[in-house]
Amino acid sequence: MSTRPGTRPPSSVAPQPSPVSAPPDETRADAMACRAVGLTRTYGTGSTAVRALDGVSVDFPRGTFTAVMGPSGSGKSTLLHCLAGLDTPDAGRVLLGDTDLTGLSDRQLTEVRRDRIGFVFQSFNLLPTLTAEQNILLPLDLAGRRRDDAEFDAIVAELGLGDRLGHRPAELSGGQQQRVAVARALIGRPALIVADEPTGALDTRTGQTLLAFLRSAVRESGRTVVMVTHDPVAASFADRVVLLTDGRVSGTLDDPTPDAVLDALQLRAPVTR
Amino acid sequence: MSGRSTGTATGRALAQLRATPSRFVAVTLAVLLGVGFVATIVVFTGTFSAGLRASVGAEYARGDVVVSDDTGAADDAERLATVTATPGVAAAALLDRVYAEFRAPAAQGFLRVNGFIEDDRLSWLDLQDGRAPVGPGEVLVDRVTADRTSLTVGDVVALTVPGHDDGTEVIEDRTADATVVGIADSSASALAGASLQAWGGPALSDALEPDRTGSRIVVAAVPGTDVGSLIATLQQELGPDAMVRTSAEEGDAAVASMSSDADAITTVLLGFAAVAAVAAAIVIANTFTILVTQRARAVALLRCVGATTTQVRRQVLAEAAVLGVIGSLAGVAVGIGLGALAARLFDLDAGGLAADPVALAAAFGGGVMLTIVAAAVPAGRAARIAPLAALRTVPDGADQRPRRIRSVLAGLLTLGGAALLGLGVATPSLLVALPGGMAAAIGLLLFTPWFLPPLLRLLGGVGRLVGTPGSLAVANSTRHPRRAAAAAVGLMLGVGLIVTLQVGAETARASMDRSLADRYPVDATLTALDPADPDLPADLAARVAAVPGVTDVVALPGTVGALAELPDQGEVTVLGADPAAVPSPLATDDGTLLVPDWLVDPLYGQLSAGQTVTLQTPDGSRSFTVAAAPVDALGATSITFVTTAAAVTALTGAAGADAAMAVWASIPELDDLDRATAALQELSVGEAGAGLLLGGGAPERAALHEALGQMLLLATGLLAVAVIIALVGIGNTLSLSVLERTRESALLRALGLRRGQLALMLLIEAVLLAVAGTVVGVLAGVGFGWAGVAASLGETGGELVLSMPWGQLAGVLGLAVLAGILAAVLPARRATRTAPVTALADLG
Repeated sequence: MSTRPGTRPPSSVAPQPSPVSAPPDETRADAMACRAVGLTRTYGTGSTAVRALDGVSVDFPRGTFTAVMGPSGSGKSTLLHCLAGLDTPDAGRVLLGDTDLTGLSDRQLTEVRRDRIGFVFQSFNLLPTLTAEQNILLPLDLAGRRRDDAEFDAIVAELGLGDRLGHRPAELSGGQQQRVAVARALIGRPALIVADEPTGALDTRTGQTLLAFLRSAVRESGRTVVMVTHDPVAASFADRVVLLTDGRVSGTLDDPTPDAVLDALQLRAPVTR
Repeated sequence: MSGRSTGTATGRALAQLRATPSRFVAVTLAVLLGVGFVATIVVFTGTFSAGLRASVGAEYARGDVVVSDDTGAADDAERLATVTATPGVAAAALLDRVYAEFRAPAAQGFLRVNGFIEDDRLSWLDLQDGRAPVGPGEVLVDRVTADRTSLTVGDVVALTVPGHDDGTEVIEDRTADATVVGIADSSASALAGASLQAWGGPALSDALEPDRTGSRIVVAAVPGTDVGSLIATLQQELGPDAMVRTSAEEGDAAVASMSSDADAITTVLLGFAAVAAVAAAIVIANTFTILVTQRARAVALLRCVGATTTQVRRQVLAEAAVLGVIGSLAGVAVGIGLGALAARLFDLDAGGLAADPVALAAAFGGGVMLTIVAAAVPAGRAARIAPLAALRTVPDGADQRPRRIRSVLAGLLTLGGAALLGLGVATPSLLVALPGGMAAAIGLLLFTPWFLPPLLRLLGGVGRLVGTPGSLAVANSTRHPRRAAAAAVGLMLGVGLIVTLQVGAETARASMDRSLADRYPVDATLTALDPADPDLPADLAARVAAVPGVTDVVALPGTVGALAELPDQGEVTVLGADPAAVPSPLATDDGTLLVPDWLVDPLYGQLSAGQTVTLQTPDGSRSFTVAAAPVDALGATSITFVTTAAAVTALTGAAGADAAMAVWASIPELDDLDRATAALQELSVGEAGAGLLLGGGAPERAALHEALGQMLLLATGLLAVAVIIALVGIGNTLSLSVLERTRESALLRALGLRRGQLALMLLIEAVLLAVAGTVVGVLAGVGFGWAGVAASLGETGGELVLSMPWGQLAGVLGLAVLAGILAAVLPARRATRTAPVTALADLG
């Protein structure tokens, strides 16, 4: 049960990031793709106030795969939303490369999401009215950017979507839909890919294939992935696990195995049920 | 296909429209109906104007120049001679007109006798039957006149131009009998050629009106002559009084003088089009609001992956623009077809199909703009959806609560408008009442989300009797107050306006009927047309009584005499009315003479009430006391007084008692009015009764009834377009909420609700919505209609009689129920096709 799927051999169709197409901050000496500094986020007011994040500081180095774990209500989704510019913290800062997201307007945040962040959600990842290809290219189209045919073909081939491009989401299986979502997250070479329970709606086997894709994107293409999950097996695909409890970082785990993750969770999380 | 770029808002909008076209049918239909309506009006009025132009200009179409003289100073014959003698003139003819009374075998009235043009170069009538008229005893009539008067070739028409006595000069009646020798097609437009007309030679015109002036002269130029210089020459010859124009200019001028009517019709029609446009805008805005709510997660996802608020807004607006273009194009096409068809049906297309391209383009552009503007608010709402909404597993189903500011505004508008309306009724002033009513109506429409749910629950009391489906339907109908309100508002508007008109027309009719009844105590009177021979046929009363709908037939004896107190009035007629058999204002005693009000007017009257007068008749004399009564309109050709039958027979003796000078009758039922009046009219001109005059209130009441009825029918038909659009909206709202509730419907089915019960639930929901909208519309319409008539009648000093068109109101309500059922058919079919297992599937 503790088997970690082996690393895929280097693939000729997954090119190394080229300096030309890479965003400027990726070439910088600074190795942090994203940093959260003292994040605090409170929902509601008065007696009903809930402190989802309570001074969270985490660094996400470039080219790493980080899993964020914790029990329900620990603040892991809120952290992800803040990192992705979907939610605004009450205090603290989110630095994407050298951009401070907390000071940006809605329009600037939208552009950051479009150009520098890739999204994979648990479900409802795709626009039902668009074909798979249109969904993949959506961030580029929204930005008015030209597609890089070589990059597109490489991603599509890697994810095995070549014969599914003309289909609408309703004509795709759950696994195929998630692979389209991953392809959309990869296109345009964003600085950070955020994934919220990406395997939650998939069966075990399909889920593990998807996670293997994400990991190979990190290992072979130098992408940076932050994934929220409550599944220790999913977390074991990451390079590092960040554990959250009651809105605080309660520990980190490098090169995790499912058993180690499970141990850490049971050790640190108060029994709530 | 798959490679199509979604980078532009239009690209994504097209993808959306292609993926779920059925959701946009209602929007397209609403735009189509609205634009189609306007385009129909544009094509109809355009074709009508072209027909009018062709019809009006037909007389001079073959000439080059038309000479007119509005001063009427110069004699026609002299002018014609001058024109004919002018160099460059090949032929000239008078277009003279004489208006004469006519009596034909089956009709009587007024006839326009036109000069017939014999010259081949100018003759324009298309002879269909018979031959051209020659001499004073022959006329030609056109097809329209022949049809309306039942004239055929060989019939004789008696023509009279009445003489007059203006104190300084006495002009005798001029008469001529003319035989119809031919029938021609004058291509008379139904509106332009509304009068009956005939054509006769100059001899006939001379016999009827010898010294004619001011007639137009149509001129054919010698081939090769410059028309401009001919006009200059003619102008010089004829002097400054004459107006010399090309025949095309003359035709344009004639149309211009008539087209104020056509313009008024266009304005009124466009007013109705505006109502239809408002209804369409409501449907469009409501549909997009629902669609945006349903697509909230997709929009949020779009925002997550980087769509700006502007891009989201543009996509919704682009969808609206595409639908607006499709709907407007189809609307213009449908409008051209319907407008041409209508013009053909009303026989107004003599000038061929014509439409102002600018107006058609405006209808198209207006339709597109309307769609985009109506979608602007929903588009803004879509743009405000937070990206985080995409991550919620359950769509946010909470309905928007009615907003407080809007409620205050709506309340103020309603109350303020109602107060102004009340002031307008009390003052009374239509100018104050009209804006008040409009403000109150707008306030009421804005207020709908507040009062509609309680109303729906109230009406739902009936629905709950049906059991579970009924209870569910009531709960469903009230869970989105603003959505329900938006669906009902269009219906309220359309129904409200229709009912306003119905109640207004009915109240106006009842009020005017009352004032007519005061003026005309007797519905129908028949008297002799010729004062020299006042006795009526003995069997007339029996034949009048045989007419269906006619009651209380009384034959009145009468006598002709003179009052010494009224020396300049000449002969007067005195009718004897049996006090027990005639309406109360005309029942009097043997010693009283009822005279018209104006004769005892304190300022101008020659008599005074209570005065004693003496009536001199060939049979003797008798004294009476004068009293005023509404005897002015009893239909006789000479001044008529009324006393009792006993008083009259005392003068005339027993022989006079049998000879009737008037027959009076009542037509108590309004429904009989038109037919009975027509039958009496026929009786008065028919062979045996030739020379009778039909008077009394009935003809006027019938004309009023018909005019109001036609106006109402037309207005209702035009407003029906708005109601149909509103019903499309209700069906659409229901069908979209059915889509939204697919899983809910499946759950109900899984829990044991039968297919039929599910359909019944939706049916009740639709009917509830339709009935609620209609009830509010009816109530408001009754109020507004009544207030409108109160303000306008009050202004003119009429007495107000509130009357309700119960039958029509019931009809409107019945139609609303039926329409609600119709609106539910498609959504119910869709809902019942949902398999129960859908409830268990994760739709994401």
